[in-house]
Amino acid sequence: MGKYVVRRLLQMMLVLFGASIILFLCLFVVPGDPIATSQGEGRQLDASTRAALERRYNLDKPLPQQYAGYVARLAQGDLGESYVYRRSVNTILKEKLGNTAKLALAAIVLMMALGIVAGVVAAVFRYSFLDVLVTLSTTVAIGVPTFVIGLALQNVFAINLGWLPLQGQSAGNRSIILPALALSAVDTALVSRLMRGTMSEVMRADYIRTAYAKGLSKRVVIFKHALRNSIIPVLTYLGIAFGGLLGGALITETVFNWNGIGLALVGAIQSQDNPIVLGVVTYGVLVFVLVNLVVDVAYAFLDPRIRLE
Amino acid sequence: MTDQAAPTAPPAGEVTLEAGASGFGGAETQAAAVGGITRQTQFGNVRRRFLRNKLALLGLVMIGIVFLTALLAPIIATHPPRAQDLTITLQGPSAEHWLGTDELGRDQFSRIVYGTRIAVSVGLASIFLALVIGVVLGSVAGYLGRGWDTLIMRVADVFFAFPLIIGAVVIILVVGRGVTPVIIALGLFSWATIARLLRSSILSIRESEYVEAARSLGAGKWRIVTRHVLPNSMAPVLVYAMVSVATAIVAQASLSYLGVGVPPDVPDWGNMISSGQKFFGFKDYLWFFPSMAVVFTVLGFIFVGDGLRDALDPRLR
Amino acid sequence: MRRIGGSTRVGVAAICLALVAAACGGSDDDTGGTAQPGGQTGGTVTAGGVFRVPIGEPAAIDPYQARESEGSNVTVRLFTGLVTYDGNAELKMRPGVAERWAPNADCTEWTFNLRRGATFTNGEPVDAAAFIRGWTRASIGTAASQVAYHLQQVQGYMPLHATPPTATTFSGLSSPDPQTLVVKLDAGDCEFDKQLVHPVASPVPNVAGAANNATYNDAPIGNGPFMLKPGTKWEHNQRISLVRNDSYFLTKPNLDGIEFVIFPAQGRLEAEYRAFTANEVDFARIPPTLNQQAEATYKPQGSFIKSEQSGINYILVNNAKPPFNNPDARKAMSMAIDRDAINKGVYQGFLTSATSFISPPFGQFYQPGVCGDSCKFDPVKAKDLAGRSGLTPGTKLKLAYNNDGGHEALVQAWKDQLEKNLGVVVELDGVPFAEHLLKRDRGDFDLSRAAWSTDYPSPDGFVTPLLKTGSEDNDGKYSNPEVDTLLARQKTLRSDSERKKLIEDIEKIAIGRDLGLVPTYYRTAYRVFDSTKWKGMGLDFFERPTLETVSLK
Repeated sequence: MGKYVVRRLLQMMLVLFGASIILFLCLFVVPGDPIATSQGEGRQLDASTRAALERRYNLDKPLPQQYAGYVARLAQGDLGESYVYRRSVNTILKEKLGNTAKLALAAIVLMMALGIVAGVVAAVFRYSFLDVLVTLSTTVAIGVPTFVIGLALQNVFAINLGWLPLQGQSAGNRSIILPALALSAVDTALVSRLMRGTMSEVMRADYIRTAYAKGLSKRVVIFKHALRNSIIPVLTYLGIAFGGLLGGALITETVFNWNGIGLALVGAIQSQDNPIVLGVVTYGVLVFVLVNLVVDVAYAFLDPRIRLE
Repeated sequence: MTDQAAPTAPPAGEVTLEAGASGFGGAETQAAAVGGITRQTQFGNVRRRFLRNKLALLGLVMIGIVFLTALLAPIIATHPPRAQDLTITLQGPSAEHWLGTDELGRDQFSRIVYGTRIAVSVGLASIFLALVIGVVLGSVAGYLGRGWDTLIMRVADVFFAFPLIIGAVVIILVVGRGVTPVIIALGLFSWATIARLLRSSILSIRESEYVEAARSLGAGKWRIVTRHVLPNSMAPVLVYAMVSVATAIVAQASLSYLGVGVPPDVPDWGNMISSGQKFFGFKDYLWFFPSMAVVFTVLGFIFVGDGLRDALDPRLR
Repeated sequence: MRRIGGSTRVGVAAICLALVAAACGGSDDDTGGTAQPGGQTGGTVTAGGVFRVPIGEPAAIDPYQARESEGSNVTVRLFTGLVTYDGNAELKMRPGVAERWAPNADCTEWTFNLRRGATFTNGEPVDAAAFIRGWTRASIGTAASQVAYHLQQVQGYMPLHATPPTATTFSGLSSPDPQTLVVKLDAGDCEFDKQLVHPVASPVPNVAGAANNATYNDAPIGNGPFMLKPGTKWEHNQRISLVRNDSYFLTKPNLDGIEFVIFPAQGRLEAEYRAFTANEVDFARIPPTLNQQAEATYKPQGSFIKSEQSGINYILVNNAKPPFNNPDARKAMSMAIDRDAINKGVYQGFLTSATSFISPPFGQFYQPGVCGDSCKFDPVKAKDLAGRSGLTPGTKLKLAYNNDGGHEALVQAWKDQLEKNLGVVVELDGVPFAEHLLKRDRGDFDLSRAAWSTDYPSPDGFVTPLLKTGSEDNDGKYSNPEVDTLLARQKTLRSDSERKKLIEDIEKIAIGRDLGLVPTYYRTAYRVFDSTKWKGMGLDFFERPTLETVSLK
């Protein structure tokens, strides 16, 4: 078991390393000069100002040296300094991370509550009207882009009905409802379909039939046996989905003006604030990979066959 | 497990798929057909099951509509999609402009019609790219194993690590905006799953009995791969690819919405939604109709994908 | 204060300020100024209230790096420099910390006499040393300030600003006594005092330390009409809370405090405006698409502000290569564009078409109609002129713009009109802002959308950067030695009336005759504020809300 974890950790390091090189190179191939952008259209950019800025951002060194510096700082957890705000990227992201995490958590709660329940209902009452309803609505939910869902929710609940705030976070707990719904919609649908699928299979297994034959009530069979066995792949999926969510729900944060790291990324791309772009994407990749690792380890723990692969 | 011969004869020249260990029905060979026994091919079974599925049929029809619209766009559209008329900006749906006009007086209906071209081309092209890369790398990893496998899977991990939109945004940052960069970006971050799927599929088939049988009969590696392993492992890949087209279309619209997709004057649904959002609350038709177009197209592919999956794997029935 | 149009509130503010301006003794010296008594503005005013203003997250509020509007909006409430500007049509500076100031004969040396007794809010004196400290702190190379260049004319700037710095003091600054600041310039500039309205020229107390003092960056201590609420600092992405500085040496503001509410950059305009409609802020900018709605809703109550600002929107033309190296081709292009139709169709009439390069807020320097027929829509004449100047049908033109600034509608309208009226083929080249700047720099364009505004109240801020041969910002490469000569001379003239004549000539040549760049629209700003609760709100020359004069109703 331990060897497996170590092996996977090493693999994770490799992946991160590869991803960081790609990212870093990408940003330097991007046309456009972050210093000129930062001065903008109306301000003078003379040679001495440029020299001062290049010194500050380490842009006066050759590329490999810059990359080395970047990796060295990264190893210590230092994501550098934002070009635009001149504050440590760590600090900036930490401030916004809470918001993204809150949103992700709310989305996961919705996914679990709605998705699992819908899937179980659909599986238990297979081919009934409920099943059809769930199947149809989840299929539709997958097909609608997140930002369309967000816009639709805003239109209905914020503008027409006026029940919930349109955007931002100023209304306390009410602010999180619409963004969480939009963010979780697609994954809730996928979770419920997954749940329905695995549960349906499990429900036809021999041991379930035995349980029924033994005279156990439907409720006991479902909750004690079927559910427990079918929930593993779903939990796996939830874990992975969480990792992806944390990576920055770009679209939802943009639609709802939610001050998280996704929104920071979108803004940083426009202002060529490369340290923030690097920071957010690195961070997103890190979380995604970490969560994958946790899920894989848990899976291996539960299923010894995987370990031997 | 072999299917019984069906009363109706399938058309001659039908491609047969050999039986696979994943539980597909066995197939008669050409020899049996010659002998007058009507054969039931796997493909025929799949097709029949697929066509019985109403939702899948609906999906096929929807995709058909989208394809036809894309093909016949110049005929279907009522106005040139880029023609501006500053005297009729921001008008609601009317007899002249069925879905209204935008802030430059362009006809929304025509722009939505032409939008099918971008959606279809980007959706298909990006997944085709992902398929090419994914199938090649996946089969190499799956069949050759060992070092190749580890190397390719690690590379896949790196691409896996980027959420689709974030990865695409980075690529587009580098390459610039345009239809081609979007296709490349989406293809680059979709091949990894395909490769993984194919690889695990191959891994399980590789050791199956019929492959061993073929090998013992003296069949070469190449023949085994192309005639036995690949066809049987492609099924899950194809299903995933179909759904991926849907995902790609959504992703492409999302990228345009974020402002990093195709250039703004191109008639594209994401662009239309993004610029329509400025008038949120009082000119909602500007973002509503393009949104419906996206949903319609995507649903078509999902229905077909679901139908394909159900048809290929009868265990679910 | 000259405003074109405007609501009654703006008018009231204008009258109040005009009374103040009149109250101070006029000086017939065209440069410098005299002290004014601290006075009440006209009419009875209720003190009190906290005014809520939405802003985007600033890049900086510390004066050394006050480089964008959001941050400067806060900085100017916390600091007052040597001079101030009240929007008068003569573009004359009013006393700030300096009571009197004057240049020497050839404007190479300026002497500022500071008032006594002015202090920072922590008690430190605001003397000449405080200014030397502030200017040095901003200009030293290690600070990497992006706005210190405003002080580049002062002797000793270059060694101080170098990387690494080769000097530690600002040699061109000296103070024979604490109340006197002497500034030596590298070259004569009779308008130097005007540049000192920029926040980078603020004084700073000793506690400021070096530029990278994070504590001071987040909680600057200044000498302005407001100060940070005690015990608070800049709460990033949330708010900045200010209270009135009761020991302010000029006219104290009426407000008890200001609450700057920070909104995320994405969709900020929409968020601000919606917050205003929900009564969460007292003032807001308006998304251009909602101008009509805002006017209809808020103008009747007197809550709608329309203000002509000093910026200019224009089409940058590449003078360096065909076809636009020919002035007739430039004129043809300009005549083929229907500014009014675009204004009406795309912007619902909320823009003001430009007939000159220097805009109305420049008072006596504004020459309406100097552009002449070139800025009037005349497709027939345009086609004729185009044919004779090489702008023939089928000519391929590249129209560059930044695709992240919301200009799509505008550039597509231009493209459409040029193609329709001249038969040329226009390729839209929209790229992100950064890349766009590079392209312009390289001359990789025929036409480009552009805009310009200035940091200080002088037309020099427009004509020199954009019309002078070889200027960094003259991306269109317009070059006319006659104009260059005039540009150089007008800096050395002490008399405003003499300078006015030269500026007028410059514009007549560069725009009227040569059309080196093509003005399209002036910059008109629209705002809303809660007039049921407040009065005296308007925009100053720098497009900032007049928080120093606003008061409860």
